[in-house]
Amino acid sequence: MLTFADAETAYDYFVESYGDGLPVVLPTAQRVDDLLRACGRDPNDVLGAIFPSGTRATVRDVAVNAVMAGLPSAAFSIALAAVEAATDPTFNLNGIQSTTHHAAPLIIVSGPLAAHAGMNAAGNALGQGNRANLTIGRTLRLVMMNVGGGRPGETDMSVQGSPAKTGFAYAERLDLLAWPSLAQRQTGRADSTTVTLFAAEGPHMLGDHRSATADRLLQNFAETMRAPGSTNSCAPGDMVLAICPQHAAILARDDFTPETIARELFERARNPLGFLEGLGEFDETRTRRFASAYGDPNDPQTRVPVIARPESLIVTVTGGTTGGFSTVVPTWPASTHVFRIVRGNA
Amino acid sequence: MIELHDPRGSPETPSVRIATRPKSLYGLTIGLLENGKENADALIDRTAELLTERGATIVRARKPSFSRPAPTDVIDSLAHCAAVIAAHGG
Repeated sequence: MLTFADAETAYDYFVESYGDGLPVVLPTAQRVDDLLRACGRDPNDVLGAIFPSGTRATVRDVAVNAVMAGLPSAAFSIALAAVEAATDPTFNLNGIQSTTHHAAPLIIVSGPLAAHAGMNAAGNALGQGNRANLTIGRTLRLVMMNVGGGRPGETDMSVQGSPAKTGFAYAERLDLLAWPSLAQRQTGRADSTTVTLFAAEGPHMLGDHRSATADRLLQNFAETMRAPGSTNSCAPGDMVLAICPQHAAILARDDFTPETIARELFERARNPLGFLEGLGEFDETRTRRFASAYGDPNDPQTRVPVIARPESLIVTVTGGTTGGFSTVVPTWPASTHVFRIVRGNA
Repeated sequence: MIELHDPRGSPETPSVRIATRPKSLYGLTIGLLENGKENADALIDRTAELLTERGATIVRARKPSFSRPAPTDVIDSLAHCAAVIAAHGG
């Protein structure tokens, strides 16, 4: 425990030394205990090492940072699953914490516990106005900063960062889904809730109010996905597609499923090698090595996809019903997405 | 007075012994690991030349991704070296 002369001194110290730039809630024993009681897990359970410090985060450590973030207790099991997922070596948290790229962890929550936690999956699903959405992402960020030691100007070398680095979480909208949820596809169970962790660049809008067919809609998706600038363009990796309900309805009506959407976009969202050669992210050795998986690495006509394989595209549905605005989120390809099942709160 | 939890958790500081430094490179096997970024190979090429002139035997390796830790097979290929130098291009 840390001791301070008074609450005001403690507050200033916490905001300055352990904060992300926003005000924090002070982690008193009472507040932390309340959160721990709500989850029913042993506070000393170790979730995994948070790099670059390598400090092993316990359930209690996450609770302390969750209190600071203002996390509602009903969302604590989601935050725990997100921290647990972040320690998976496949996710490469050490790289995300220290890269010069914009990379930030995006937490996608799919399944019934998202609503239980109070998450909003309707209008502004990726925006402001909902405490659970905002503080789940913020909790992971504070764990990364305080337990993991990832601090701007010290170990976090991101050139510009992105607004997603403050905290980026959204929930899949289940009530309008025409196909199995992401969690169901991951676990085979309709009642399970998962968090999927993804190394996100900033989100980019896919506005389309004209396409009446899936064919044309997917072509517009593909054109946006293959835009130069993202690291995906010259280094195929994962990508997230957050489809709005209006677009999802068109795709479902034309008999598309998440699997066929991914297969179609894997084929369509490609750039010819000759075009990539002129891009700033082109690397003579690496890009040609990636290209060799899809054709002749010296043929300018070889079409290089932005997603490494169909399974690299994470297809989700979220948002309101008032327009045709979906979102694509490119990645930092040195990370591969991971998921964990959320254990229900006691 | 107010008592608060420390949000940094409980950092452990395991003691790690630093490898003994060789007194001379002559006759030793030296590993050279490229991180895979641009120009790392140029740095390694020249380092290899200089070390060879001093009687060292060179083993070279390259990380497949500069942003991920070196995979086990790459580390294993350098395990028999007396010392390893990592070069970071950029």
